[in-house]
Amino acid sequence: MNIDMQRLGTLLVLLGSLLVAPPSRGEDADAPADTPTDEPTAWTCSTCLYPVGWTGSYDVGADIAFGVTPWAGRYTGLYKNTVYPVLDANLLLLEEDGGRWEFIARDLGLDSRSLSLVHRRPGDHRYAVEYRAIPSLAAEGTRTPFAGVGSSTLTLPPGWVRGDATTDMTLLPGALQPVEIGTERERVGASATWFERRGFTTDLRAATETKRGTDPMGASLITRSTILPEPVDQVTDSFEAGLGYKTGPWNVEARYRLATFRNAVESVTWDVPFTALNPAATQGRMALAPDNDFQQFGVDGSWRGAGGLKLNASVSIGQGSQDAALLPTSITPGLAIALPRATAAMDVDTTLAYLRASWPVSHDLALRGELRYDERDATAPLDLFPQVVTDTYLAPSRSSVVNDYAKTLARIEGDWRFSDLRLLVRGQRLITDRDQGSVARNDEDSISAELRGPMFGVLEGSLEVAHDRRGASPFVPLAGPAPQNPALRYTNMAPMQRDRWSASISAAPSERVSFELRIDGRIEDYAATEVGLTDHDDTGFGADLNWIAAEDIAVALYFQHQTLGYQQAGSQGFAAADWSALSEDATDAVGLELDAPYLTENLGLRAELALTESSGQVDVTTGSVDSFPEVSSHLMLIRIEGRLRISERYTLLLGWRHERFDSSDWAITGVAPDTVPGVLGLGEIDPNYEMDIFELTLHITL
Amino acid sequence: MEHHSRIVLFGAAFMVLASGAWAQDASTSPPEPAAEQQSVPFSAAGADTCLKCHDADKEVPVLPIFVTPHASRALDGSPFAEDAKQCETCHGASGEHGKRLRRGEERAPMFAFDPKHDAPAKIDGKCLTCHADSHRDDWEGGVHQRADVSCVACHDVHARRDPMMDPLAQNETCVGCHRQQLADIRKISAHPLRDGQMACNDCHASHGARDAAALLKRDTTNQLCFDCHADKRGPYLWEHAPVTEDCSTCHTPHGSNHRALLTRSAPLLCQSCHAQSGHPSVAFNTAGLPSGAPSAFLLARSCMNCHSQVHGSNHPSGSQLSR
Repeated sequence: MNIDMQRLGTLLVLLGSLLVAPPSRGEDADAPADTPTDEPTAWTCSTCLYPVGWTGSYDVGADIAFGVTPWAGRYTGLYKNTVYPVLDANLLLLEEDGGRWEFIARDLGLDSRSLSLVHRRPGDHRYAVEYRAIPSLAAEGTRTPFAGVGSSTLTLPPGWVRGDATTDMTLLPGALQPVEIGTERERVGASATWFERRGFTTDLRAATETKRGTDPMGASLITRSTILPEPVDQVTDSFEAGLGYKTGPWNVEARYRLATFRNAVESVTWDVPFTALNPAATQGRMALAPDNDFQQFGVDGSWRGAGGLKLNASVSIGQGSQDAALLPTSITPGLAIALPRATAAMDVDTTLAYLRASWPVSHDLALRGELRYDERDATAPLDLFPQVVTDTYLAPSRSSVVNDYAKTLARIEGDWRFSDLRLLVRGQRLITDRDQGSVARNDEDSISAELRGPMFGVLEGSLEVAHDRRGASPFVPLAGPAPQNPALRYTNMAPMQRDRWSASISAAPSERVSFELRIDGRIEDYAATEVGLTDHDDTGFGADLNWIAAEDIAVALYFQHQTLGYQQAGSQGFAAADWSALSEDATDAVGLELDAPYLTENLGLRAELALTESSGQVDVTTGSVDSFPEVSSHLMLIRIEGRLRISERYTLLLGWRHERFDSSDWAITGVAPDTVPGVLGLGEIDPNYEMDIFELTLHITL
Repeated sequence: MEHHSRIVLFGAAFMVLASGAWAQDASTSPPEPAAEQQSVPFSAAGADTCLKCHDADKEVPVLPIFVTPHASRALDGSPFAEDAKQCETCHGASGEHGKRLRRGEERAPMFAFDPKHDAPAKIDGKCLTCHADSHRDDWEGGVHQRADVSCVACHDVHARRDPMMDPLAQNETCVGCHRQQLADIRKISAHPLRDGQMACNDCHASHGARDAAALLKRDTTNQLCFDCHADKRGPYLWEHAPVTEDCSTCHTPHGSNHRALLTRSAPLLCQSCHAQSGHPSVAFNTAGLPSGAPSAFLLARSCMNCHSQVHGSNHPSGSQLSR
């Protein structure tokens, strides 16, 4: 990408010329304008505590759960109606020299637990080791007839009766077994930072994260598909190092990052439950995510000049590589065709450069400018690979394709303050160049203006309007055996015009009451698109009311609404558009919060009522309108927490949390493993639960 | 692009930056705390004066600050270090505020870091006097600075532990302003932010970032996503172009009404960009629901029933992202 090279060079020259400009000496933007003449020379403080030794607190107690389901505890592990121990700690060991040990433990009684141990002496060093586990359930109520879940080979029961449809699989009903579709992440990290030693700050970080479990994965044989429990056994390691130097107006940091991904399961092989078109195709084999590496070097810098001028610059280059051994073209006997190469041999270079200037020209005017360059440059041998379609038959060979892009952004912004008003005006151009694909170039121009300030004496208001226009080079439909419809335009590359706006008013009519009303929206028009997304709109509005009802009693009430609409057109005849669809998602969230930390001297109370309702509607029009059932989810949350101080050292924490969740999605509602004749599914069900969790915990202060 | 050229460019940029830095006089002493206007005297006895009133009271509970680095006597650069101005290091000379009042006399105001009365830039300037390190180097021009969000809007330095250090408290602080994100994280599909298994700052650098608008911790959206979803990073033998360019083409980060944080559900999402010969853009309708003739194109994982490798395939026969 020679043109990108030139652009990068230009940016760097600009960057360099600005940075080599001699900094003005003797002027420090942070220096105080006035210096008191009667500064004390030495104060002692007889009432200051300056504690040394152990301090902090820990919590011991129990959560008693009723009505929980796997989905209710999908990120916590609160899966069962039982008693879960509460073990939290926040302990400090303060040392004479200002050093401190910090031990934080959270949710040790749950699967979503975390621990951290830190020793730091602010301004000198910080050493930390951390552990964090997060479960994640992907689906509920899932069942599968496969044995070997979690391994690379999934087998059907002996004597399995294949069929053209799921209803023909006579052994299926008896073979279905519950299977958990979800993963657990465990992350262990360590870091060390040494602050400002002779101006240098050094930062080292390393972490390893494992992810184990299963994910749902579709596995097809021509027109028949099986949803498999994909084995997940992955490790992501990362290492980061930074060396910073700070002196006078300069702040420079060089950094390096290495991230590696290792997958213990390179592929999954499964018994095909359907009658295959190719009688020899009794098994299928899917390649899973390959091992990959990514490393990146970067230099960031900033310089603060005279008059508050601030320049920030950054250059980073990265390289990603993936050279996993390739699987045979097919597991089906007779369809293993020789490959042009044995490994993936894929490399990606990334380049990011940016320069930002922030200049307070005067007390009333500030200017900001930004240049940014982001490039992905992939390299790989462009070989022809024989294609065995879903382990069934040999199709024409295809050449592998890599995707490159280069994005260049220029932005300028003015920030005027006149009287009490503030006007921000922004202009921006984003150019995206691609070496491959149907659209070689996009140009997107944006302009916006925002006015903020007092209104009518008691209100604070803001109004922002913006307009974006994206142009595109001529659309070149993908050719080959299955060409794209020339009337199609890709959503993310199509010519588009967008109008955006937002407005808010807020006021604090008294010391105890404040409120805010806000509205925002955007409309996208894809006028040149005949097939694809043609219109998109996003409208939101909300309100907040905060009320100090009495001393130490705060009440907050909020409401937020959002509607997302998408209009698109399709062509069933590979020609002009002959159908359209409107999909609309709406969300309403309302909440009432009460915070009374000192209801009495020894009693604090916190309560929350929150309702969130989301719904989705899809209408498909092919002459007449066909409306799908509503996709919906409703969450009601009630939480009451009390703190009863028993003594200087002991506080009793009492809590009740009630959650009711209802959901419905036509894609899974009533879809059992054998509902779709051509898809042997997992039978995922809509999550619904109503749970109560009672907490009784003793908070012990050291 | 040839890699050696990029390294040369990188090296040149590094030298430019480094030479500028090394050319300066090294100064390792911490910055002096900003002082207040000449006309206002310091208090008579420093913190001893302040703590006569501001003790363990619940209105301004300041005493927990003594277990934090901000009130350490032993740390160089701490507001309570030897020869530092204790409370008045940050709050400024407060002799007028702390003096004994005559009957009917109103207490003089002090710099209380109160966004209602003090300009955000002045509040931030106080904090940045000591905290202007590389992690806050992009504060100027970032969305929070532009929106006049001051440090104290989120941080509480008098607390035993700043709430922003706790994932759950941090998330509650952020959604206090970002109400749409509050609604999003309560949807059926969301990152685990609601109960604090993740924190907002796992993805966002709230003090400023090279991505000034979204305040992402990494250079690009994809690099950020790949931190946790490294299996999607590739490069793959068969790539899906929008995946390599921007994850947010199909996914929305905070919460969605649709599975896997998709902006819309399949098949309509996929049909926004796919209408091929032999596999045309069919108008699937309610006849394909379980009550009718259940459709493999509509139900379960829809398009992903077959094209499951939407993030890329490394199978030599995976050009259709089905292997």
